[in-house]
Amino acid sequence: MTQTRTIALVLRRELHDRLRNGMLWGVTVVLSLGVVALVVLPPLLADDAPERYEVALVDGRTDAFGAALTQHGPLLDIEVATTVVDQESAAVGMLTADEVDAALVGGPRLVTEDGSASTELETTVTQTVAQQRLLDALSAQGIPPTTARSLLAQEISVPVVDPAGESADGDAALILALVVTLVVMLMIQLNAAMVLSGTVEEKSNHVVEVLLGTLRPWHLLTGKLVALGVLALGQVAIIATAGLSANALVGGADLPEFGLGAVAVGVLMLVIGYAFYAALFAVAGSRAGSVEEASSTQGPFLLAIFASIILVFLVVLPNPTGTVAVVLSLLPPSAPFTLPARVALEALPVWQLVAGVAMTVLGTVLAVRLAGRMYAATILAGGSVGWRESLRAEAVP
Amino acid sequence: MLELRGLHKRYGDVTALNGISLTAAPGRLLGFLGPNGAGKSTTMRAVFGLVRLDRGTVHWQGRAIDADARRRFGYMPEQRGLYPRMGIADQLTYLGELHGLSASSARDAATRWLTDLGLADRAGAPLTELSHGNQQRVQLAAALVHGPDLLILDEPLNGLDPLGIELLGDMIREQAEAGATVVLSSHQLELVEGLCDDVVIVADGHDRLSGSLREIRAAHPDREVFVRLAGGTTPLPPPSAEVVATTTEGTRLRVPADVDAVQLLDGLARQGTVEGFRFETPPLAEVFRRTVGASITEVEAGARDDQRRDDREVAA
Repeated sequence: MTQTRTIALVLRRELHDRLRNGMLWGVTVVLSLGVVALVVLPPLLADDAPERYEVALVDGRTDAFGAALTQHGPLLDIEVATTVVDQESAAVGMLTADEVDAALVGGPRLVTEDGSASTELETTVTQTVAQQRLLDALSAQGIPPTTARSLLAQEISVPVVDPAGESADGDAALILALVVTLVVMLMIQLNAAMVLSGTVEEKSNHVVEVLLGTLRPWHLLTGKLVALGVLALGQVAIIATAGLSANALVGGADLPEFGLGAVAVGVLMLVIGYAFYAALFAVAGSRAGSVEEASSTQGPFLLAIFASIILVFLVVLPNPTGTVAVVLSLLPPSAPFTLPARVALEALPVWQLVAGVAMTVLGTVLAVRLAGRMYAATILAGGSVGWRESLRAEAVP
Repeated sequence: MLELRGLHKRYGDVTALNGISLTAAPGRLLGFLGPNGAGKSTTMRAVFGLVRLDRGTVHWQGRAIDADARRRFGYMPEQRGLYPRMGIADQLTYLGELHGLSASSARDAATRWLTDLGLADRAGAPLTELSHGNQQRVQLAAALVHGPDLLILDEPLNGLDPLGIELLGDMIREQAEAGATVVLSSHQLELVEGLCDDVVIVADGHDRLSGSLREIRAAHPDREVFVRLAGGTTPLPPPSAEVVATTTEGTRLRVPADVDAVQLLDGLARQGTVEGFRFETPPLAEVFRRTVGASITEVEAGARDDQRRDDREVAA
């Protein structure tokens, strides 16, 4: 029998065991529903209809002025409808009767019921009045009002870009960075915790003693890590499918172009980061004599995950190109959470991505080798084993 | 044939193995006997490559043991256990496959064992739903499911009631009779006395006496005599004998092995009507006492005292 078949048997047992575990399905369903909610709820709850204002025009203002006012409204995300009346008293009467929201009278003054108006309406009216004065002045210089008006009516768009000429959707990028970072963190933490609990269980109920009669510790560790890694990717696929399906169903937003890159880097760092942390959590499990003890032996690694996440949220997201963000991108414990966030924010130079992935792969290789040795040294020891003791312990050949 | 020669192993200041050797033959059941801490479990782990020996050789069929050979071994470690939530048939099948059986052969073997153990109707039940006795039987089946050539059982009868001891003892005995090489460790000599063909007595990390059980008992210089006279009369021991114990059942004497039993019986019959008389080689416990200089209980108590003294010195 080959070593591959031995590892495959361990992997198959782990998969069967975990797939029968209700908690795995519960977590997957909850996370999928969470992502679906994030996709579905905003379009359903969003009130996108612009505020509408009815304005009465007096003092000789014409339908052309009303048309200009109506045209300027959408620039400030409001809708303006106008009614031309002859007398100021008639306009005030309409205001009092709630037939209009405001009246533009001689002066010019904008009369409202309580003497105040929204900034959008006030700015729209002011711009339109200023434009009317400009048109009047141009007309006095011999330029026909229709010519001037057609020039002003042309739609002018001034794009916002970065120094490289690229424009970005800041909110979408930030949300994507948050979601990708959180999903990577949850997947790594949950599945590494399963490696820990499986290891503790095998040690505390002594089944490992029976298993090691025929296989080696590294067979057991490898089968366990691969099985839980496959499950983690499966969970991500289910969650992503749920989110994309929901997005398609509600006709939500298109993924930004950079989103695919962030998701790809997120999946890559999920795989590498999972291997890094799962190997360390396996050691934490092998050092513990019981589930209760495991809560303390896993402490340093949980701390590393949560400290990394806090730093990403507090430092990297607000300043994704700062020194701290660069350093966190290169450190194996924090890179799995930092790199996808910075890709989502389009704040990651290629060299830093390559260097961060390379450093994390290197750190993972070292962690797996060290974990394999420590696991083999501590898995057969009864009770809990201290760090110093487990480093010095003699590994099972 | 399993051959262990001159096994040495130290853990820091502690000597676990100090030159242990033993030979176990096919079709025979070897009792590996000694107090707790004598090195029995370390020796058994060495057979499975779970200990890095400082010195010594472990050979099976004349060769060093590799992964292929190890798959033909069955192991019941002292610290035993199985997956608590996994069905017992699935566990036996899994272990059978790990030992090289095909999936269908492993499934068939698991079903056969559970049927033999009277647990066929519980095949899907997790281990935790079985009684303690049934868990022990499944545990032994886990070591036997692949039909091993060599069976290493570390204290297999520990914690069992008399019925369980008889049941598991019979299962183990049948393996040896079917041709397997069986090594069974115990610190409870009276439990395994009726099972073993051969014994190795071990103390302080090395073997002190080995051979067939019949031979080593016969080689003991004393014999034990039990006699009961009518009316509860206590017999006067002949000059060569000493009284070991007197109870309401009768009197136990120790006599030299070369005493003529017929003459001894004649002498006792002259003191009254003999209602009961047995002339026996001494039990394993007596063989151990003579070999090591103390009983297993005394050796284990001494080790505990040493440990407490060391702990006090460390604390001081």
